[in-house]
Amino acid sequence: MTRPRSTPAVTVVLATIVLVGTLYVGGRSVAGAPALGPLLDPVRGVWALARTSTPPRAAELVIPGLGSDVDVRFDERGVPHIFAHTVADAVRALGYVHARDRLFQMELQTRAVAGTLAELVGDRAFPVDREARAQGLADAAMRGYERLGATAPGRILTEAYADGVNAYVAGMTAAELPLEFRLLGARPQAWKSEYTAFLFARMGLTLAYSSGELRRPAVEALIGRTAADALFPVNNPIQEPIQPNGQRAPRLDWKPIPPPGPSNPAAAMTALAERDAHARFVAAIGGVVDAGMARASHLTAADRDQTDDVAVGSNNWAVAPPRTAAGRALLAGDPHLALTLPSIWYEAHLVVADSLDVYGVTIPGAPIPPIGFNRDVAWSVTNTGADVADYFLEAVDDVARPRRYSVDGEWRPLRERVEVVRGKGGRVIAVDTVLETHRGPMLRNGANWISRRWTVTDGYDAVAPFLGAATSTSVRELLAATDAFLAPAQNFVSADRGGHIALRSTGRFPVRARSANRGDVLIDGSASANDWTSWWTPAEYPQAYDPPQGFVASANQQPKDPRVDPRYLGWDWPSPWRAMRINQMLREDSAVTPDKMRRMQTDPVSAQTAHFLPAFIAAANAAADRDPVLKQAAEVLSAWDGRLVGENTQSVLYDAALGELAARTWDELVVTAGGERPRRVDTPQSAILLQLMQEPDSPWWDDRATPNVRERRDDILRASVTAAWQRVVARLGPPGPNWRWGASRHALARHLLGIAALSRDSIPVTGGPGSVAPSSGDGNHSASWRMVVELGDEVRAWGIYPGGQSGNPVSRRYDEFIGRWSAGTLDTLRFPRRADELDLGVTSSTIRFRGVP
Amino acid sequence: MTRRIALRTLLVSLAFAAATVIGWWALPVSAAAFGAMTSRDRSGPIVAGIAAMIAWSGLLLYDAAFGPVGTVAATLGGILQIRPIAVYMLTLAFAGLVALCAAIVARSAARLTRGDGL
Repeated sequence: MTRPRSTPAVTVVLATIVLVGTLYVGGRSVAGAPALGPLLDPVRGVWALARTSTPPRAAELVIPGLGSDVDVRFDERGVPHIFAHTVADAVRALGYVHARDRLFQMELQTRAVAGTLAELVGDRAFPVDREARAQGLADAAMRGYERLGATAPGRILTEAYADGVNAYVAGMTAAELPLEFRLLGARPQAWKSEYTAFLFARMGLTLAYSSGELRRPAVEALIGRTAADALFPVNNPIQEPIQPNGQRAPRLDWKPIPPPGPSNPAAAMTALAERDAHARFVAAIGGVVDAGMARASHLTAADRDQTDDVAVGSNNWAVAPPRTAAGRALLAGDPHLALTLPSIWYEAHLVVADSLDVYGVTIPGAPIPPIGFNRDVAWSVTNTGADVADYFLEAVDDVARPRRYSVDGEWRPLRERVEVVRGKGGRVIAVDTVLETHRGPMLRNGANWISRRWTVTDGYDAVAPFLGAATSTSVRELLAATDAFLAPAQNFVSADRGGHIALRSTGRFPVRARSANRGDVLIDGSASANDWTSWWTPAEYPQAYDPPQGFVASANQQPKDPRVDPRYLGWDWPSPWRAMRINQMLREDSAVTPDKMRRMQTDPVSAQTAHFLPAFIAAANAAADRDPVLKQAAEVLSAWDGRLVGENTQSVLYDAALGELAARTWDELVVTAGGERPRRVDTPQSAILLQLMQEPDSPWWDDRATPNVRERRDDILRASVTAAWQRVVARLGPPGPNWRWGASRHALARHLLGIAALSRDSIPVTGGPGSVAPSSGDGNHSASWRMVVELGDEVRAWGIYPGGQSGNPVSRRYDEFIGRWSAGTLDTLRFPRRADELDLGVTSSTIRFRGVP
Repeated sequence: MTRRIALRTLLVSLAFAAATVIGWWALPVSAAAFGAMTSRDRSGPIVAGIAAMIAWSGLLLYDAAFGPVGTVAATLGGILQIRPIAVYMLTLAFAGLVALCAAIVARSAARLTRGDGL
């Protein structure tokens, strides 16, 4: 018998080292990479996502607290139709399916508000957490939630919803853990009912966080207050308001723009730095959570594309039966938000016999759809953009370490809120003390302390109004139900089966003290007389019910004509290009059909183009005989039909020229002090640029870079066209197929963690600046949901969003709608009354929930 | 002889697959046990490494029977910025390497315990 040959010692040593190494990287996260063992494990690891990417055809499950059985049938698009005996049970089931399909999204958005992202993603989220806590959104939402009575829908339904979420989390197998948790080496936390309030606070941040006051000092330092008021006016010079004003065309309120005042670049730079501090929260969220949503907010308007207003663009409209081909009321809605994967929206249909039958887009984390329709009524919302946040300059006892603040000559103690920011594993990163006045949290601005009064932090039952909308049987009932909707203020457009249509800008709008009637400037906080005094009543809201024009529409434009109601509601309203185009199409058509509504949502014409394009062509033609570039450019622009469609090869030049025009015209708003790189402080709306076009000799046209030459309007128009031509040629080559609009404008649906492999880019889109479906330069902002509803004897509806029902990137339902969304088509939405109305052929899977006896 | 080795490798693969159902960490544990048990057999660690890769290949095939494993590879490959095939290779290499090394170390430890030298 021979002894087996021994293993060389070096091999054993090497094997030991490799073993230790593989076990280390197998069991621990190294350099941010997930532990390889649990990740690559073919039973429970990432591979298991293949097995769980398609839900079981039929399942029977248990949710604690369920009163009676609930049937859930998922149709061929993955939309759950939930049939329950009580609203609370329906919501429990919704919580379960939300968690099953979107658990990571729910976790991330909750943590973003709570300021606990660093515990999930690591220290890189620390600045976001710190700012979130300084903003106090979670604190305010929590206090608002605690004030709710035991019978408030916002409490009952969110608790039921939490039952459903937690039932899923408790029963979730290791194989079902979402990919993102695996990559982060984390597990989901238990869902608390107050997290729904966090979600609404987050929507408030996205949609109602105006901080123009903080940009204003930098603007005024550069051009003076008079000019600042003219470039960023309270009222838009093009009046096409949401509340119909009886006009059959937009009204152009042209006024001369006063010349720029004395410039103080150093003061502007200081103000800019202060503004940046406040912008950090939204911008930081943009880096970590969902960039586009953050960029879409008013807060970062100074950083917006120079070409024009941000491509923020939600639309909704309703048409009364006399103006439709079939004599039935029609409603369309396309809220524009950051495009994310998974999408912010999740379609669902909740049916409770005799009390609820609503189909709509829900937000994972909330129990009731904010947009949708039932058997009688349909509604959709756009953001009002009213100014519901004011900033007060506070007088404190000690600038370095304030303890008290002065109001009416009396010192009041500051409320102190201690915030502990933690990282992964619960390690304490920082302990901050946030100071608050009676108005809200204080933020330090250089040598000043500024407090913020903001309606979103008042806290209220946000579920109740949407439940009321979901159960309303007429537009009148819907309006009454949404009286209680406070923030973020929304333009509700609705239509009912009785043929009524309505529109109302609904939210809590502050009545400001006479001494501080404008919310777009910093307010003296040392006098209580400057505080908000009351709220607009619903009767005072911008609104219309069955207006004679036969339709209602909103597109984020100024809600009320100042000639009808001059009170301050906000400022710097988006130029109403989209509203102008929508209203034009609705005025011209008295036989509207659902398919026409669908096509309107992706209409490629921009009302803006009709105003600027002829000016470019005329200016270029005037010098075409002596400038071959202008000659060529004029020919290209003249050949354009004004449609922003993919195959067009002229619009790219127009778009570039408009960008150049804004940049060259508003050069007074670029600050270069302190040896830093030039920075743009802000950019007026394109409607203001058009207003200036009426003054060809205005000093605003003068190029500051050429002190010895006094440019006029047409000089800048020509310079813009020339520069645009050179830029486009440098980027795309000579005119030809490379100039296709479709090659330069795409949509981008970014994954919530910004992971490129889980994002979808280069999605073809139709539209551009000022069109009904404006596409932003980076493509991250577009129609997050498109819906058309016809309210006949039977309600018919169509809809689509750029994503899919599942948050699992491995599932075919992760992005299955994107192709059809890109093509501008809508899916038919199934709306069965009973479970057995959903054919087996279209039922992809079922769940029967049983209560625990 | 070859058939016997093949059969043995297959049986070890089944054992490793069963161990992985407990947890990925059970793979190096069971490979170490196998290495110790076969310390008189110089081929033990090689068999362990190959069996581990076969075991995890089998489990991947099982996954593939129920869902889009290729999409998982493409997705993870996209995140890690490697080709999808490299994700498969990384998975199998990890299993093979951890089992091979565990078996070598355990075999050597067993031989030292018996006074057989490394």
